[in-house]
Amino acid sequence: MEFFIQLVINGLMLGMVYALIAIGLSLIFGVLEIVNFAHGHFYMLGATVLAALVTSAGIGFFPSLVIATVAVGVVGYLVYVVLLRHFREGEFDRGIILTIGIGMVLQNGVAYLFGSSSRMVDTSLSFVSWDVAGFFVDAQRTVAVLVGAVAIAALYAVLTFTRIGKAMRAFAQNREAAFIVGIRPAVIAGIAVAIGIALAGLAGAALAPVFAVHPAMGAPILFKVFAIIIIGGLGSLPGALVASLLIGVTESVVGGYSSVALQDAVAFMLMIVVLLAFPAGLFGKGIRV
Amino acid sequence: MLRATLAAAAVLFAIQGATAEENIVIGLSTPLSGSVAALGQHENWGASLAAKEINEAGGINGKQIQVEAQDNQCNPTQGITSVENLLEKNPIAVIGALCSSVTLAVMPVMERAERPLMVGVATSPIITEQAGVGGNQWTFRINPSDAGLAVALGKYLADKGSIKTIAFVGEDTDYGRGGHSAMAEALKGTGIEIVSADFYKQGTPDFTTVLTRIKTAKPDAVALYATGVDELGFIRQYRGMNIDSLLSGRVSLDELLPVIQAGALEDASSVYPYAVELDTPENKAFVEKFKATYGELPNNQSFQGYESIRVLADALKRSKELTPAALRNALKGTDMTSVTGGTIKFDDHNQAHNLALIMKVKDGVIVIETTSGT
Repeated sequence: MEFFIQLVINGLMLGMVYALIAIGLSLIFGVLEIVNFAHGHFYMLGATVLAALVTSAGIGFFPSLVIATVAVGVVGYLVYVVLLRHFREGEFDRGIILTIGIGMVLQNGVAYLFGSSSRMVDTSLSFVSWDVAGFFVDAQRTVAVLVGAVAIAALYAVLTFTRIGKAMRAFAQNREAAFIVGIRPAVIAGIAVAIGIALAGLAGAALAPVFAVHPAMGAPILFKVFAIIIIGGLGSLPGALVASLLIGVTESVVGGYSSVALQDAVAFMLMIVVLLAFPAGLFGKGIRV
Repeated sequence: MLRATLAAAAVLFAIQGATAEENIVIGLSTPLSGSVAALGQHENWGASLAAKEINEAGGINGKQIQVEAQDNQCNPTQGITSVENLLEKNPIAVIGALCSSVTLAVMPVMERAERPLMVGVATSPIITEQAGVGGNQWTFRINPSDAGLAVALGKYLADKGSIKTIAFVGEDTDYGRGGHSAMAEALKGTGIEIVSADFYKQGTPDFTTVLTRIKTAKPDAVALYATGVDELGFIRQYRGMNIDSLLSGRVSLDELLPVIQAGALEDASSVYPYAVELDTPENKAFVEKFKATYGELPNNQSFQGYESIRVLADALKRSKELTPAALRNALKGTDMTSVTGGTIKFDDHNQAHNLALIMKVKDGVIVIETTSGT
């Protein structure tokens, strides 16, 4: 039983990490109807920027976290302004090709600038862990989970209580009506893309001290997060959160009791089962964000 | 004007064609992108350094060696594409393919092309089984296979006497799976038991689950067969979880110097074909030259890349003519001293038996405990 509970704790912590990446991806899809295949690479970019700031520039972890998030958000906004802005409705396939290309440029650009060797980020919390009622809790992961929880709560507050957040939701629910009442699509979509990509950067930065940082780190996580937003319902933020935790825990428990080789397959098996039972995903209702 | 430009271009082409004709092209298929790209980069560096030295010393009968590298992403499909691309450059031999799964995939391609494949890093025992007598006549391997390395490690661990149970963790590839069978075979009759075996997908960032299981099961040692970033990630998380089990297996300690200096891998042991610390004059010269050229210390991959070119150059010098078939015959007669001080001589499975080094972390530094034949 203790082993099981430990696995669930591990799974929930991993799930929060997935959530941070998945929610950004879902937000971008909800507002722009673009599946961002470069999302994992923005996660990598966040981790790389943080690693450079902490190890080379000697800046503290938390200031670096903020700088990395903002930097990735700015890159995301520029990507929107220069490239994504030009999409018309129904150009779904062009979006896929373009974002795959952006991902390649990011991955190889980082490999070119920083080399493909992996880097380790050490903070004062590295290798600190707590024993909570007999269970193992890693300090650095706890920080990542807390950062994730705060970011998700802040996003929820923005979407619910601010005019810009309400405009984003309106835009996602009905583009024409939003346009008629005077919401400017380019402004709203640009901000949504910047926020979504900044969240991926934040996830990468928060996790840089936990995982090895290298140019190819975005690819494996990307496909898992795709499965998550499909399970949660494309464009649904609560769905992305719930599905992330669900996948995190299931992966951990399945890996713990059978084979870790199955862990990656779990997300996709779960996706197939959910799609058979709920074709729109767990929270997909046709209305997004 | 246009005519002049065209003529100049034609002349340039002719010159280029001529130099390409003169050079001896040796292909290199190795991962230059993906999670083990850094290892492929090192193999390429090592090979280029050896080629440079040989060329500066006059080349092969006056001809220069030219190393052509292609990315195989440590992926069997991409591996075949990379070799097909290399074959278009008419190489006399190809070095590759770093990853065992990719090497096994490109072996038949090289056999059909009738050109030698020089394996320097991949360790799966299946490569030896398929090469040489009764099999693929074009594959040669200079590094010891996992079978040879596991025997050396098994003997060392058994002699220590303190280790009775081992949890095996390896990547889900021919390297990890092959390493597991080799360890299981080598540990038979030593009194050491492999109590669990876990195989993770290459590129996995998170090892919490398998580490949680190890923390609960408390084996005496963990045998790790991981590469590149996976290895670094695993060891970091292993250290973060305060696991008491000793680390062993095929751990590339050279890549983990910061962790070792921090005192986190005390008493960890590993079996490897190469270590920077090797005390031979040839190795000291190699380490110095490598560091001066690339600013990093060499690792096993750079050493094997370097040695692959040396072995090929040695055979090319003895070869009656500069054709792949003559090169293959010359390779069979190889008998040269390795940078490690061991001997490179191919058996009837075209497998050389260089040294296996048992390395151990003692007081924050890597020491070579023993060397043994494989």
